[in-house]
Amino acid sequence: MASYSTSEFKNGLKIIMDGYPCSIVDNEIVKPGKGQAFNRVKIKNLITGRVVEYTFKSGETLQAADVLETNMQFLYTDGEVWHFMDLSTYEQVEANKTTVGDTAQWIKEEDECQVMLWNGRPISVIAPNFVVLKVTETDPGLKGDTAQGGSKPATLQTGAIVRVPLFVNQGDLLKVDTRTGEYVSRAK
Amino acid sequence: MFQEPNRIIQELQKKAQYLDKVRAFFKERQVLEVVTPLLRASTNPDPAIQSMRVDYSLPGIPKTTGYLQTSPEFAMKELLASGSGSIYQIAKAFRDGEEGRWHRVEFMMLEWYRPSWSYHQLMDEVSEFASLCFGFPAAVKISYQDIFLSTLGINPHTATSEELISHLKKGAYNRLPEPKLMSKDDWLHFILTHEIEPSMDPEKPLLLYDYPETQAALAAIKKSTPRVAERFELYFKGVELANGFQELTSSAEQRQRFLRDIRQRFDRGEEELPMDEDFLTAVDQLPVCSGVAVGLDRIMALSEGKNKLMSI
Repeated sequence: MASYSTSEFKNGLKIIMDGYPCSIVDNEIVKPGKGQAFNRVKIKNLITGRVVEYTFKSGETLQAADVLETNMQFLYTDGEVWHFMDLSTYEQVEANKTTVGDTAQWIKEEDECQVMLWNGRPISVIAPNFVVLKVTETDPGLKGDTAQGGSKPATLQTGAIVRVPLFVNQGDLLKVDTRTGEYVSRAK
Repeated sequence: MFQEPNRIIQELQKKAQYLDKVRAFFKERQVLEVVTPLLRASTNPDPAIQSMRVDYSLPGIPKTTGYLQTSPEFAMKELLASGSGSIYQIAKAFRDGEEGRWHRVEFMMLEWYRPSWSYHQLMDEVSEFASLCFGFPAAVKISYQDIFLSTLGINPHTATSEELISHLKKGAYNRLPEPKLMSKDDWLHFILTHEIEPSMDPEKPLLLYDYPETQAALAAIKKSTPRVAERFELYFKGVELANGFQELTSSAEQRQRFLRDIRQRFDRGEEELPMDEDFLTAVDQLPVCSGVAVGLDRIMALSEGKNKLMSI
């Protein structure tokens, strides 16, 4: 298995730490005068999301992780397994509910997502920054009703619930920012 | 680089002002400014420093190998051996692979030498220099032994590697480096950088002196018990700013140290470095003197209140 030595450490490097695939998020060289350097690294566990600090002596090595970030098309889900396809190779992968996480509430069939693969299996799925979804349920906004500050909840076709302006109706197509979960604008 | 012309001009002007102050400091003390070659046929074999090799040609000699200096020390000691008297130099130094918050592979070094001065006298001058040129408060002196004793209750000269590891295991480290790769000095360096430096008073520069014998580099060894290297460092806000010595004046001892360094490199399978005979000859003719090297980029950045090197 390939490995990296401390002189190759840099942000974004994918390595295995305690059996988990991880990414280096900070690499600081600490060099005492007249001595060998140390690398103080902050490492993010790509499965748990935790960031931990470790110190390595110059010359120590870490196992490289076979981690790939790639765009894949969301095909369909049965509520238990989500299927994605690589658009250039047509290879398909399956991700479970935990791996898809919050992203499940934003994606509809044919949306392109950023999938992180470890040894060929998905460990995280990120939705596109903006998605277009149809409103399946919302109360008609009554004119002059500002009791809730001019907005109301709306349920989207994926089951996600967002706050929308009062003029939005059932059947409308909305543009949503998946990073904040907020309504952006009407979509054509 | 082209996006913030005002900030860049400001930084350039500040650097120029600092350099003026540095030159004024030495002019007042009648220390001569010298300029020595950056390229040298050989280099310091210190196993912890990688020199940059340069291949160039001279008329009639198509391939010559040289090294960019890792410090002006060797060239300046040759001048001292020829009777130059007190000298200083502001020069670029090069260290392969050293790039980070407080490192640049190419950086600015100030180095000066005081014939007939003891390293304690030079420490006083270093403190004065930092105050007058960079506005630092006066430095406090503490020995390597005392700072370990007062911070951790451990005597660095008599403790064993096992005792140091034991101490570290009580700390909140997620991981300690592989012990097979660590010498006792490496454990001392680890403790110094991870525990002692962060606990230094951020308001007071520190002059740390009398290092372990094994960390002597080019310093003389005091025949005390235990033996210590007559070496000192200036720290401020946990950052190493200067490294000074009571200079070694015995070429026999210097040659032994170089041979140990060359052996270590050989064991690591590294390129063999030529023994610097010109330098060794100079060491024998060196007057009793002390010398110090200051990281100018770092001291300027700290003086400007930065927590990393400036961008230009």
